[in-house]
Amino acid sequence: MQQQAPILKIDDYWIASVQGSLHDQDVIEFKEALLSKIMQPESKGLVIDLTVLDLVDSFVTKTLIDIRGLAKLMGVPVVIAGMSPPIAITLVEMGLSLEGIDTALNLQKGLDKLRNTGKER
Amino acid sequence: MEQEIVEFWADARNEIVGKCIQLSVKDSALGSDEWHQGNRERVFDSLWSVLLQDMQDDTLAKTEEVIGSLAREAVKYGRDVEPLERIIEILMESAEETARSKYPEEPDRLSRITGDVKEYLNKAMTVLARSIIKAQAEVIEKQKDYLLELSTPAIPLLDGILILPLIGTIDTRRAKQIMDNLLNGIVEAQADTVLIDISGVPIVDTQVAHHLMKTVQAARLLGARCIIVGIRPEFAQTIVKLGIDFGKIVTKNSLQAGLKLAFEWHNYELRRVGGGGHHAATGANS
Amino acid sequence: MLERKSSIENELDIIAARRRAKEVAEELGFSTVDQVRIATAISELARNIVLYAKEGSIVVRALREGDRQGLEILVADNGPGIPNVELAMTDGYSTSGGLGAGLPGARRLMDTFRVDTQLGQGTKIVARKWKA
Ligand SMILES: Nc1ncnc2c1ncn2[C@@H]1O[C@H](COP(=O)(O)OP(=O)(O)OP(=O)(O)O)[C@@H](O)[C@H]1O
Ligand SMILES: [Mg+2]
Repeated sequence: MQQQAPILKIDDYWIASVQGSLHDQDVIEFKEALLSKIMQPESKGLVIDLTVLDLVDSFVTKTLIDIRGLAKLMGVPVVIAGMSPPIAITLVEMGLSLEGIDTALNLQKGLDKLRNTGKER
Repeated sequence: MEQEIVEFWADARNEIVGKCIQLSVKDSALGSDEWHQGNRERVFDSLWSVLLQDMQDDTLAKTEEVIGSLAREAVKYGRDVEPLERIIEILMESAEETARSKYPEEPDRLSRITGDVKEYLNKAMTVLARSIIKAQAEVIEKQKDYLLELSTPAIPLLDGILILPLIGTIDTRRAKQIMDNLLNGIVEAQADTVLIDISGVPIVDTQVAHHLMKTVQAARLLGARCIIVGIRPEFAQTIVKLGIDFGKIVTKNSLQAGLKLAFEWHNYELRRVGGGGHHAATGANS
Repeated sequence: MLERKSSIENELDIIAARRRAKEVAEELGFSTVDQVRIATAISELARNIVLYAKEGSIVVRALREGDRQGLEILVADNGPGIPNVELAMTDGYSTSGGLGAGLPGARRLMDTFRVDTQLGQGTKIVARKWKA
């Protein structure tokens, strides 16, 4: 990978922006880094921003599902934001529709979604 | 084609192109044509050089390419294609004429060359005709695409809400177009909610149902929710019969009901303000 | 005719292979969506090589059939082979704890997809995509 995916914190929400082309080791490291962040007790939610990711295959999909599953166990809601139309079409055709995972058009909307679920709880 | 004459033609290239230009000035089909006025030298020259090469190799491959692109250009810009025919004829005429002046004493040889030229002329004409038909077919295809695009507009209604009214038959090709249009429309408008109205689609078969499902799923991956409205009873039956899982897809029986739900999701409320309404008027009387 | 070959030995090669595939698809004038479809299929097939066969190769090349233009993917490895292709092509079947979406997904992303495999010899896959 060209750059490490930055993981930022706004209020108590985590924001991770995935960049460019990830190879498998990056994906695994990214997942571990994310999990260690959201493990922190004040974590209220996580947005994974895919705006600048070039491709999502079954391995990346599995990682997203895993992250979401573990986050759910810890009571941290996850939103996937900024997926591009070609990637969305490709995933649906592959039969990977990420059911049950929350999505948003962009990072801001993702954060809004998390804030709203926070209120409802 | 005889090698010697081809070589001679190659040497006499400037002369032949010059003759062509002379002939074309007098020619009624070309003389008045603005585009050919400006471009004939280039066209004669490039066409003649590929024809020469092809005659040498006894093929028509390069000629086909050049004629093809000329035809495509003419069709694309809506120019008359007849001048192209004349250009090819004039080239052959000039070639024949130069051959005649080279072998004035050899009628047999000359008639052989003339025959060969005729043959090439015929072949080139066939190529031209085929290229024109192909170019026109391409234009029609493009127009079809364009019409398809026009016929599936995603209309931004209110901040964050899109309406996609589907009208007419949907085949696989159109279904793909609809999906592309809608997904791009969602991103462009950053729309969270899409109302897909299928009441204008006469027949909804398995294919259409399947594509509709895929579209809704892909939209969801982007972060937009779809509401499908206008489902006819027959379609509902198709879905049930085919065992397609529409369970997770939000449907409403009318556009109004769909709109109401979309407004709810967006925290809008639709209500009449002030006088003017029927109720307000009667209220004022009592 | 346009042709690119990638040898696949590790995960870095996966990225190189799919970048090459995308370049070829782009040069052939495939739509952006098709470019992503093709690159994703390559990603799946290349990863399968790394995971199950250790090493192999992927060739991406231009195709022409009359007026039709397309792209062909040729995958080859000398790995253990696939005991039951039909099963391997089933959604959700995985021997490595994956999603089992690679082979069936790649098949759906392409227009044609053929698997030739021999136990103990290796696996060959030929897949094609035609321009719309
Ligand atoms: N090149 C290969 N050589 C040997 N076995 C293979 C090869 N490719 C696939 N397989 C077998 O076929 C199974 C299905 O492959 P597929 O790519 O569909 O799923 P996966 O790799 O297990 O998971 P995913 O691709 O979703 O991460 C694999 O688990 C593996 O057993
Ligand atoms: Mg796989």
